[in-house]
Amino acid sequence: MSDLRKARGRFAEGLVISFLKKKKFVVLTTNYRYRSGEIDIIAYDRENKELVFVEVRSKWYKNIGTEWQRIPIVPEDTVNGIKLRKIEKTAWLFLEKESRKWQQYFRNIPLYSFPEWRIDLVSVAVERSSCKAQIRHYKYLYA
Amino acid sequence: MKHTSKVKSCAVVGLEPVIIEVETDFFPGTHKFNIVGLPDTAIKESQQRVGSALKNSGAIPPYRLGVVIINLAPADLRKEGVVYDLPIAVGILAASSQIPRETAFLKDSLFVGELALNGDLRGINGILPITISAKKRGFKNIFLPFENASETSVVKGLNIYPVKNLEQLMMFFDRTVEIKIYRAQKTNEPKPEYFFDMGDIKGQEHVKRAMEVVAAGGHNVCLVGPPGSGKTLIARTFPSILPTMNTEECLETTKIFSVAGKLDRGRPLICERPFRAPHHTSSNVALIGGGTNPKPGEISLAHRGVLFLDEFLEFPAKTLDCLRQPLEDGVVTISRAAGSATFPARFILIAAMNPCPCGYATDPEKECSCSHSTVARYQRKLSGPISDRIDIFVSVPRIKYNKLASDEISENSDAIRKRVQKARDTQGKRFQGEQIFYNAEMGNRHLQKYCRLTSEGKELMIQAVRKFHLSARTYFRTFKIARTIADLEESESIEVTHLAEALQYRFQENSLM
Repeated sequence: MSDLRKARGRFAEGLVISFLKKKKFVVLTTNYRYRSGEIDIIAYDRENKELVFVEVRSKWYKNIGTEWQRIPIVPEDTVNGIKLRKIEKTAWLFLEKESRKWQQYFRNIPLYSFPEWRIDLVSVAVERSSCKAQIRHYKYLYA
Repeated sequence: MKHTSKVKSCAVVGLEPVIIEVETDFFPGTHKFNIVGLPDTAIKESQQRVGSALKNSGAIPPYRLGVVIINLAPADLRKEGVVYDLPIAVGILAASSQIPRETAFLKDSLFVGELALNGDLRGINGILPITISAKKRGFKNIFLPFENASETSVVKGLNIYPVKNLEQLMMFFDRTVEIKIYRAQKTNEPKPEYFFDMGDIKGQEHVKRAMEVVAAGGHNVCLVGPPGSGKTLIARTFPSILPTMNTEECLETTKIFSVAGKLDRGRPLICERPFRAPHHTSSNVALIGGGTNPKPGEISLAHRGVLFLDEFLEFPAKTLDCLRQPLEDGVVTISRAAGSATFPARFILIAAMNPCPCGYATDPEKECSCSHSTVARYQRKLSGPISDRIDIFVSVPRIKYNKLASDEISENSDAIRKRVQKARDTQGKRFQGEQIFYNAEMGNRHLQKYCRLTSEGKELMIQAVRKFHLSARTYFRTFKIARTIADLEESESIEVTHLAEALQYRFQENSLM
């Protein structure tokens, strides 16, 4: 992966983190890796009392029209069932291994059970010249 | 916190309703919707309907609940149909505490119905057996589609909630909306209507008399005659001389029609005796019943009524032989890989046939164009076992012109029906405590008990056996018919005249030619 691509990805993730914080999410970890899987952002949704695994998808365009349909390929197009299942697997591993990280938010949960959790997708379309971005948030993803 | 719920629903296997428990559980994770417990395709697809219906009714949609598991218990029974949409939806609502969970009210309630995507409830088939069994099993409430409510009007002592849509049901559980318990409007005692009357038939007095005997004793009959002599018309008027059905019989018939999906929503209870006249190209399955998941056929639809087989000998020989066992037992058991079902099939068989392919073999005026061997081959189609089960053979001759043109008014159906009713009442009294209802159902044991002959009668029978070479079965059949004739005449014992008339009906069989 080229440095430019990495930098762009990091930039988009930064945008998303501030976006989530504005929505009263608590960010627990970023770029959580376990074996082959990676989850971009793990956050806690205060409103719904759910743990959220966020996948960030970004794409850079020369210019973004006012209508989002004018963008030929939208960032969320690049997520498929295989990717989703990979995230799901990693999410389960996170829930098992890193219980300390999430248990403080779910105090009265019975033994051997897991919190309510979900997978969200945030797509970021960035305009190259102005670095302005369109962000769309999809909740409750399932394959 | 527990995330499970139990909701009761009902499946109909054959005619037998089975209570199905719909259990719902869910746990965190990305959304999956699993239905277990041998569901068929329609039930597996119900997850899409239920999901959309819940979402569009303002409930938390299932995809926000994580992994949802539905179990249909008992797990070994194959489930089919769309009645589980509503119980699954209610189960999800209860499991996620959107409606009160584990209340006594929910335990005493039965849910059936198909959901539309917008949350509306669609009508389903077979609601009557479900409602009756719900009452029998001690349920207090049943929630069913609004469309079906009128079909349940005969069931008393059960709170029937006709539900229009899921939203209404949710509001009902929130106690913000009251669903009015269905009360059947006071209808007048259901009165059968007949389109044909025996009084409209000119001539053919002896056939009418034979039909009267048939109606009184529940015998099977075969009408033989040339084309256009009125066999079909007589058969069509036959239901009008049958006694009216009592409530129990009405329920039995309606149940079968309900399961077959042939019930008219406007007329919830069938109070006319059914008259089924399948065409002679009907398949075995159409006649007897069947299918992967057994459904009643024509003989079951004719239960407590009349099965009219016009052009009897045009039916394939195999199809006719299928009738043997149901004719004898009054029930038909259909076994398939998916399971077996027993349907009642107690009907009066009226067969109509020509004596030969051209139809004029017995006609004195028009010459028959068939060769002797053709006629023999034609009549051979009527197998021995089947003809043995037909008690009465009547020849229906061509009507003479002066009869046709005469203004003579013959007796109408109501008068005949009164006599038939009386004879049936006598039989009812006689067979109290026995498992049978009509004379036609008598076994040899009953014959010995109820068909005592006078010495003159015995003399006549000895002569008849000697002269006509009566088989043992025919011998006993004659007694049955004689018993019915005696009942019609309100005579306690079987007289010689009754026997003589009975013998006459039997012999048409040998003299078809």
